[in-house]
Amino acid sequence: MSTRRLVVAHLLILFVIGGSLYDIGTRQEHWPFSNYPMFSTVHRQPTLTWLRLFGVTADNREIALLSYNELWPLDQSRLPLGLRRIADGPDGPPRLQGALTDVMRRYNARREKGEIRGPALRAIRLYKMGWSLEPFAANLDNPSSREFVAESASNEAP
Amino acid sequence: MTRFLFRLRDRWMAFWFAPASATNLGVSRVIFFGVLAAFYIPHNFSIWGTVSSTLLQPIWLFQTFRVPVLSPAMLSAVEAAWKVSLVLSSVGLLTRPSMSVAALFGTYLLGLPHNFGQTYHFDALLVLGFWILAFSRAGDAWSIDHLIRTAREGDAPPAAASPEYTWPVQLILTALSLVFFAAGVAKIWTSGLEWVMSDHMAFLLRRVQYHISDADPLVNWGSHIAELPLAPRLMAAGTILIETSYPLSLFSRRLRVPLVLGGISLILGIRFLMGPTFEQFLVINVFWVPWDRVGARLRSWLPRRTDMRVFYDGACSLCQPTVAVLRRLDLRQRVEFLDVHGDWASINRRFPQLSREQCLADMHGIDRAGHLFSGFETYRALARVLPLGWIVLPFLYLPPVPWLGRRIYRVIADHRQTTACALPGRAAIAAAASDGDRGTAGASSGR
Repeated sequence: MSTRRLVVAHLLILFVIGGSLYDIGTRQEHWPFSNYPMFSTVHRQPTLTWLRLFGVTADNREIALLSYNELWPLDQSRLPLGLRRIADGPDGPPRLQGALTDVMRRYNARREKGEIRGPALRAIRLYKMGWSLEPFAANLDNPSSREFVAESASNEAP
Repeated sequence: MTRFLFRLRDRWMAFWFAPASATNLGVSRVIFFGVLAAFYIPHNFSIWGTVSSTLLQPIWLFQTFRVPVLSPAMLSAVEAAWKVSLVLSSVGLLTRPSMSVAALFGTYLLGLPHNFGQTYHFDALLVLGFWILAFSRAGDAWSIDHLIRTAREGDAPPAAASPEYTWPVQLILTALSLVFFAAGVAKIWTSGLEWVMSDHMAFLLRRVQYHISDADPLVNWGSHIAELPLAPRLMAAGTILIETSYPLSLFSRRLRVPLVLGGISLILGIRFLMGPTFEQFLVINVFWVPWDRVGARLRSWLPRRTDMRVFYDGACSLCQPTVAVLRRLDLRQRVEFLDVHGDWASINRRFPQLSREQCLADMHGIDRAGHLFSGFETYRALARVLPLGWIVLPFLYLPPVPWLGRRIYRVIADHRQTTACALPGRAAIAAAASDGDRGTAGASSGR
């Protein structure tokens, strides 16, 4: 093994180990390095608070968007957490509405292509939901609290 | 103090740079990229180009280097190039450039979704693996590049044991260990023993039933486990124990198997009981396997026998590299290659039914049952014996492949004299054949 290759290998070794240890030590995230904090915070109460999206149909019915296909490529974790961050950030309300409009646009577009079976949506609403945890999520449809956060409505009839 | 430093240096060098077989890195490369190609080829990354910029929350890598979100068309092009690079990296064609493209485009494509809402952790280690392999010599064995080199340079010996094949494997495994270690430390640092002693795990197992992850749990057993009095706490304790002690697997042979299996169980447990999709993360474990020893063990278990004898023209510069490549592909060592040009006397004694002229004209083969093959049929019979041949074997029987194969073989065999073969022309072959052959009438009809 040549000296040059030895130096390259050592630089790579130091970079990978150094980057990993730095993020672990400073509790930061510099993807692809990370301190891998998932699930590390203790939940002390048997409750759950989560942002949930509901679609509004032409006859004003609200349907929970629970299927992963309906939010694709976003999902039930990435989207609510992203929306929460937007809501908490500067220009929260208008940005939040823009984000909801985007979710609804993609939903309706995919539905028209036959990729989603659900009804057409004329609006989309974001709620902050609260549950007392029950086995098998038996109370999924009966949250203990439900607080309206934002709405985006389409100008066109679905 | 000096002695300590010397000892430390020796241990460092032994850990990272003890010479190892090219097989371990080569086989791991084949599986790593092959599994990832199979996993990611159905994925559509171009969809991220359609997501509104309102949802964009750049991670540091994209922010620092001002990496843009490309248009769907551009993303499709990058995605296609990346998927091709994964396949090429697996089969080992243009291995180094392919692995570099896989690293560069893989970092972009796998990093892109993390700019929308949340950073997931199932693919970060894959990206580190891509970069480590891009700087490695993982294509020196078990690659088409190696077969091409073998064909060019003749029957060169396989790559010798080298430190070049040690450090990439060790570094990937070290990075894997640090992932588990980081996860364990984060739990202890953030929550201390409460993470184990409280009802946290039970609550967690119930929470994930409410559709809050990137995927739903595969089974709802988590709710059952949460109801048991001790099980959630034992699960939590086991998790912390495996995660924090995982780096010991790098140094202790005794602990390696239980810790690696424990790590795999954690990943599977997360997917089954909690939802998050870590499937592709599992593939990194192929680097733990000492493939050279596995291969030797498997060969020792298999019965030693010759399934096929191949008769080739050892003076032909086209046949020599072909046989060199076939030897490489003969992983089970079931084929005996016999040089008609250099060893006819011995061949003639063992196989009196063969004609030297015919064997010089076309590659011949005899299987265990005594069936004689020539030309394209020899290759098809070889495909039954060589493990890699099993992949193509059914196609070799599908019309019009046999018809086409015979004609292609005929064209190459008829032109090898003038293009590649060091042998003289047909008349000289006939003369040479009559020199020591029993002389079969019409034997040269194939030429």
